Amino acid sequence: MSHITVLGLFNRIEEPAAMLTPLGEIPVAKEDMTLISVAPYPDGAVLYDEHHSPLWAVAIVCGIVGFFAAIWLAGWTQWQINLNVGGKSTWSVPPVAITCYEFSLAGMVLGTFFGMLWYAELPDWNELAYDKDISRSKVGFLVRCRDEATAEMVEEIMKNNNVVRIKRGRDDY
Amino acid sequence: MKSFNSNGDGKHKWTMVVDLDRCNGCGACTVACQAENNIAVVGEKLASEKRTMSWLRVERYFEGEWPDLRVIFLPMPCQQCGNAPCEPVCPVFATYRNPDGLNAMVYNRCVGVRFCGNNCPYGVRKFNWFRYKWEKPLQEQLNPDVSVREVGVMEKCTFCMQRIRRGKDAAKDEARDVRDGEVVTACAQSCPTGAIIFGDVKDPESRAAKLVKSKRRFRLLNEHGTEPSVVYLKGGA
Amino acid sequence: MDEQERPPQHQEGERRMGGPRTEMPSLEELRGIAARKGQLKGLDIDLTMPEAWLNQYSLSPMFYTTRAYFVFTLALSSVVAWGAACWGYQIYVGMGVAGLRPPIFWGIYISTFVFWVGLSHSGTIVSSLLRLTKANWRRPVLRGAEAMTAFSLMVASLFPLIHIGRIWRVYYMFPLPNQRFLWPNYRSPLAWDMLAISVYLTASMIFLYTGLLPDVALARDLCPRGNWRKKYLTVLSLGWRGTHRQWHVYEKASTLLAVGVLLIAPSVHTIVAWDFSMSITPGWHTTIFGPYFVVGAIYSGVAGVISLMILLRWIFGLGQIIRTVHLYNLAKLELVMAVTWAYFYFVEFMTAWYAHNPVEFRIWEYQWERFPHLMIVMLGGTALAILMLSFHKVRTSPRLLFLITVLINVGMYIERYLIVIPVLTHRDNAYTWTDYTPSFVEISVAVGALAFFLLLYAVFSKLLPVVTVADIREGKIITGDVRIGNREVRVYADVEEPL
Repeated sequence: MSHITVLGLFNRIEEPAAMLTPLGEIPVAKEDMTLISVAPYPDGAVLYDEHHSPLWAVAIVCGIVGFFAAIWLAGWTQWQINLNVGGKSTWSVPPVAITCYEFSLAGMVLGTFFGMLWYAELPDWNELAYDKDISRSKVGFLVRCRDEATAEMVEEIMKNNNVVRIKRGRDDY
Repeated sequence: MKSFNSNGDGKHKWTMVVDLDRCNGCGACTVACQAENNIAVVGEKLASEKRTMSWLRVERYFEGEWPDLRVIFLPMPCQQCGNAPCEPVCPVFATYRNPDGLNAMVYNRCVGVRFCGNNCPYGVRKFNWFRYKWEKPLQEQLNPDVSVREVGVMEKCTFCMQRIRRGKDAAKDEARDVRDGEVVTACAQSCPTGAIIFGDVKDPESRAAKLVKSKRRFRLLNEHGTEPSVVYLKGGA
Repeated sequence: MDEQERPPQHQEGERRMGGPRTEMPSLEELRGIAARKGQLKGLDIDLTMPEAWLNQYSLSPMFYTTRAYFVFTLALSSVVAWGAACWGYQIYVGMGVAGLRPPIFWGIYISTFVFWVGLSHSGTIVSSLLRLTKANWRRPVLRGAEAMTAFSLMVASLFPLIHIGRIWRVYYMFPLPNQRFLWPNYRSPLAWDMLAISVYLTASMIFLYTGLLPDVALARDLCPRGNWRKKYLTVLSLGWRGTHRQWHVYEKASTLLAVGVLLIAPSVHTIVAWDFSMSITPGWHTTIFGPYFVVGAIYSGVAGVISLMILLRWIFGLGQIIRTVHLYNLAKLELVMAVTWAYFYFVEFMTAWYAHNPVEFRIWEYQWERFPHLMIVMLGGTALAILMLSFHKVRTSPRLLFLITVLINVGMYIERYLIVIPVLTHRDNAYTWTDYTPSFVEISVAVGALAFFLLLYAVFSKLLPVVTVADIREGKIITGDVRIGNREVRVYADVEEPL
């Protein structure tokens, strides 16, 4: 289902923040709004992030996967090559423990990174609603509308709140 | 589980006994070792840089001041340690202890990180710093039973592994055990004073097994817990 | 688009032609402003700097390139080429071209390796600690420190390769599946070392890249039309837009990554220490080596970060971003590390000297007999660092700080040399005692490595933003001035996000 997206560029964060009430009366749901900015604003400055992104869980799961990969790597291969080296036991624990530590953290870091990409919906090189002026410290406020009439009402509200520029697009975010 | 221990059957424990009271420092053992094991002759320049490749060296220590000088000779082959410090530090299993109590070295597996050399308290491990050549016709005298080592690998005394193998093969062909004195390393064979005795201490009747019980016995740097297989005898008799 | 918002290159052209005063001040002018301002009143974020200036100023190292840069890069490249040629020569002829001889099997390749691994430490430790503690002065320091970690680790990971005898068989050390089930020996500290270094390299690259993501997107947007950087910036930015959700996930990720990297970094240098202390060689076989190396690494690394920050200030004129207050704070951290390090020296030498273990004591004596000058530079350097860094005047003077931090790293290089060499020259077996002098090839490779590090950084500075713009902006957002009575003070909003 295609939507109409309206991207308004503002000079100050207070302007989109003030638009929440009038937008809610149209009505536009909170899930259909997002803030696009060049630097992170504290959560709740305009909106709260309602998405469920349990990155820590991904990190822990990947860490555990790394842990068992290490047991497999260091433990199984040690057992595969049954050689006496310097009187060390056939299956010695310290190498496995060290490998487990390193691999758990490697798993955690890789998991965090790819989890971040997953939850942030990256990479995505499609032409999505965006404006380069956001990098020049304009605050972008993106509203997804069901139909043309809503879009026009949204634009009206934006104009009432000192919008610098409005951009229309047909995409999702 | 794969067994990589094709090099021994665990029936033997090869041991070398060196009687320091008999050693006169002639160096015949070093020469014999050099010839037997295809050890490169590095030439004067490298030798002066202490880069000789000899697997067995005769160390000289001096007691007292000139002219009241007493020289002690100490032949130093690889000690074939029971708990060899060189083995666990190798990242590629290029060196390990085989069931016959020998500290084996797999040249083809070595990548040359040289940690084994650093961890050997006896300093008997040698490294192939260069591609050494045998000038014609010297290549004709190379021992066909021993590999010629490539540049960049570690090497060391093997207790004449090829001779042990030959002795064991001969015994196997005749369906008997290896007899004492059947396997002799090149250094033991060439020692004019008979200071080096080689044998299997698991055979209680062997000369080596009797000598290692001698009251004159000691092992080098035993405080490291390396359990060397070379036993030295010293202190009159 | 008004004057201030033009892409940097246009700006430069107009400045030369004497454009209007509304434009961004030149780098020289900004440097002058930075030098004149006292700047040590707790004002770590310049709230007065306009947003457009911040963009141009931060990206200016990328887009303004002077002739001196090319000369410098060319000079570095030739040094690197020379070092690489020496390495090639060594591979061709054999390890014998190094000054090694039995029983000295490890030379300056290993001490240089330890040095670079050490230098890589504080980058991540400083960066992740500051991120986790939400220290507000961290922001301009992050990128420099993280990049330093990544690059010095790249240089460090070259050294095991340079050092091994048969580089063409290096894959024996990797756990590659093969028909004969020949796996690496995980009982070997070197196998742990390889593992730790590769994990650390991966993690620090990810850490660096994650931090770069929003800044790459910024550079992509501000990249002038037709600039050759546009393509790879677009690819590298992964289509980052900076939606609220992206920022939220990004912040969670940077906290988690900081935790991960903070846990990896000390383990890496502990394992590097174990390369020595897991041996039975007297002088190496000591339990203190793990923490000793970690502390030494942070000590040398923080000094490296300070030197690098000062270089960035000087070369790219970033004095308005990397301000004296940042150097001041880093110098305080370095002072703490210097004192800790001095304590470790004391503990290490004290035990060797007092216990009078014959072999260890011989090594201790030999160090003083053979390398008295090195010992003096090493110990005196630390003493001088503690003494000098105690003074407020020194901590606020970039010039003096630069001198001291370079001296500290020279001392740390010597320290690594003295860990590796005297122990090997004087082993248990007195018959093998000998001496070691690094050969021409070894020195060339070590110098080439330093040049390689600088070259990597120089190239990086032209390809990607060297300043954490997004973090600085975030700082500006959450910072404000509040009047308490008659005094105006700076406050930072406490916006700790639950994970």
